[in-house]
Amino acid sequence: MKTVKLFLVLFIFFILQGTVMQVFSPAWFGLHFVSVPHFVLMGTIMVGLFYDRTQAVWYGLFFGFLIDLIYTNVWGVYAFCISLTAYVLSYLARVFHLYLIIVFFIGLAGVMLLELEVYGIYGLIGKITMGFSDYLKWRFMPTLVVNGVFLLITFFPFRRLLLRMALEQTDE
Amino acid sequence: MPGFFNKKLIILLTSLILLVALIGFSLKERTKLSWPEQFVHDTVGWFQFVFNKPAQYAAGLFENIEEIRNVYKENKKLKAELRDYAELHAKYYDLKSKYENLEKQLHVDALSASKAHIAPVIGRSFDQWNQMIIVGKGSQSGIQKGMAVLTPEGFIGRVTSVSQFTSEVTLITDPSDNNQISAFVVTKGGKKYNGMIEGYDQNKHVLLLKKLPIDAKIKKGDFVMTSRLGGVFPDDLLIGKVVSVKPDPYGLTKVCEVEPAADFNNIDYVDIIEKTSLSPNGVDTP
Repeated sequence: MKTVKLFLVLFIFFILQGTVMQVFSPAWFGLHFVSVPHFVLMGTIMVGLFYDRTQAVWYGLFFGFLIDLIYTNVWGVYAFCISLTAYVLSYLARVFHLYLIIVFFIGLAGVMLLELEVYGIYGLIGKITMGFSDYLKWRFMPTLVVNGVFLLITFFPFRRLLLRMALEQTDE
Repeated sequence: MPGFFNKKLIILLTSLILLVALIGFSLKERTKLSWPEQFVHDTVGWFQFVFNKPAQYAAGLFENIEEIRNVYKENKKLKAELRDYAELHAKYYDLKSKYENLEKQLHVDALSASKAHIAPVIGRSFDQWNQMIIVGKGSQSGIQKGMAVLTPEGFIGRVTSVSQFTSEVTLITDPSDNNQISAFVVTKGGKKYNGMIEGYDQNKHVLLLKKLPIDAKIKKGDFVMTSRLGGVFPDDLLIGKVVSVKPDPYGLTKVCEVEPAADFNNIDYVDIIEKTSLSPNGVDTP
């Protein structure tokens, strides 16, 4: 039952980043800079930190592939990058106490990692014409801000769900 | 422990190979989506529709407030433009009737006949690398791959994949290589020069119109339209205005920078244009 709930939450994150966040994007209101919502990544990172590393990889693969299918025409890039990022960052759960502020910075690090991975792969296949300095100037900070705010809002309810799931898993 | 580490390394390498294979497979131009893909697109499309509608209403409310503040200035400007409008209107109908008469005399079926489907936008690529929007009409409503897509302001792109109830539109701002559009410049003197829209400058926000003849006399402010010579779109869909002209690096052709007429950020409904005309030799060109 809890698994279904987690799946639904991640699915809603996935829908949000392609619909509502595009309507309320800075560009809709005539601003030049670009903020990219990576809510699915935020969700999977938290699954990796609080619940289970393998589960995080599976969720990352599934929703990443859904992103590739629906929002891009290149398959596999987001599936690979999201699950890799969530996997690598989940090792930090052993090093730190997972307070809000720590998870906040882990999330931001994840966004940076994902953006760079995707920039690299898309750059290789010739999908990106924007230079790196323009990329940093127009895209980097707004993206961090949007995802950071999202993490702050969803942190407590989402953590509660994940910790309950982890508890159930250890009980069995 | 070394055995354990090796296993992870092998998984990583295998998935890298898989990634490259998948990218290669999906970059290939495919004519049709398979049914599992269509199913996924349609299912997700339904959820996107449910989430997108209220968001657009809310955003519309903000916009309305903004618009009310500008109403006075706009009214003044529109009044000035309206004076020319009546004259243009009369001229248009005069020319249109003349054109139709001539067409009849030539025994050609309308060269530019087309039909528009209005479709709501239900989603959009969230990373700006892919410039795609998802619209809520598919092959059930008669949408086909390759159709031209417009907003009231002008041309924005073409349909690149269709499922039963949704379809994907690749905008002309997408940097992928196969995103080329046959277009022409029409000068104030009524001359037409054919070229190709190839690419978009993400920093200057202009489209690049290439392969124009070197002796073309194009000025700033000339209009750029789609051309039926590409075989895909109907004639005369407005793309934008020329902002600068210069020769290409080899001096063989001219390159124009074109400011798009449509606003690519603020799209909630689009017109999908179905070309229904016959070409002069009677062969159907859908």
